[in-house]
Amino acid sequence: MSSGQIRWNHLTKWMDELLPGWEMKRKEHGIHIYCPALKPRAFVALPKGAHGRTNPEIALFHVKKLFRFFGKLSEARARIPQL
Amino acid sequence: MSIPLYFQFRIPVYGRRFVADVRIRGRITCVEEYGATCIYGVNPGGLAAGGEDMNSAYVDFKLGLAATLFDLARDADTFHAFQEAATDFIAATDDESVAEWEKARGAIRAGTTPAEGAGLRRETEALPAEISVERLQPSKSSPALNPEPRVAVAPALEMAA
Repeated sequence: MSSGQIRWNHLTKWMDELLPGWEMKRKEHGIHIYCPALKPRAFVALPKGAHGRTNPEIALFHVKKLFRFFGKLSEARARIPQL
Repeated sequence: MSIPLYFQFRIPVYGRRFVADVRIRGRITCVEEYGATCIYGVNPGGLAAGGEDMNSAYVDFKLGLAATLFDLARDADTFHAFQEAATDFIAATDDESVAEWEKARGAIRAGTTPAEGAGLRRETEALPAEISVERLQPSKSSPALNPEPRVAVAPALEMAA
């Protein structure tokens, strides 16, 4: 794992804390992450291979985008030192 | 150093019983961090990418954008459903990403960020993000719809200044 990545299962733990009721929808070319409680219709797209079963790590720029998009970047930075 | 950029992107998207010509002018911010060159979408706000340099990061961003549009087309039962979903995706943003882009633009204008290093044309107009999703009729298909190869392949980035 490079310094620019964190483990996907760690990320989902922080998502559980910061993004209430988050949902992941698997698509042909990646996944879409929703948080209806914060932004009902909007989503962050993560490309195939960036996460999950095929890659246990995820790049920090995707993590930053994810939490920033839902307005939780400062809280995420308090929990994820690399961010 | 953060670089505020406009990008242009055009792609045909195939859905159920429709073909759409999608043209986007959006905003992104290019930042060196996490040991990479990172691109953060402002419009669309729900997408990020990375690479070894600005061009490779932008190629990664275009791949992510195309993949998202293709997935939206797969989910859409009609052309209008796709048009609405694609428009919503490009419009969605967040205040912090907008503020970062505006701050980076201010630094270019103030001269505190060197604008010459990126080697990009400077766009001084404040251009809104735009998306056009038009239904293509097979009877109106024409080679003239193909963009200039240079435009189709080139990064199509401009520095907002």
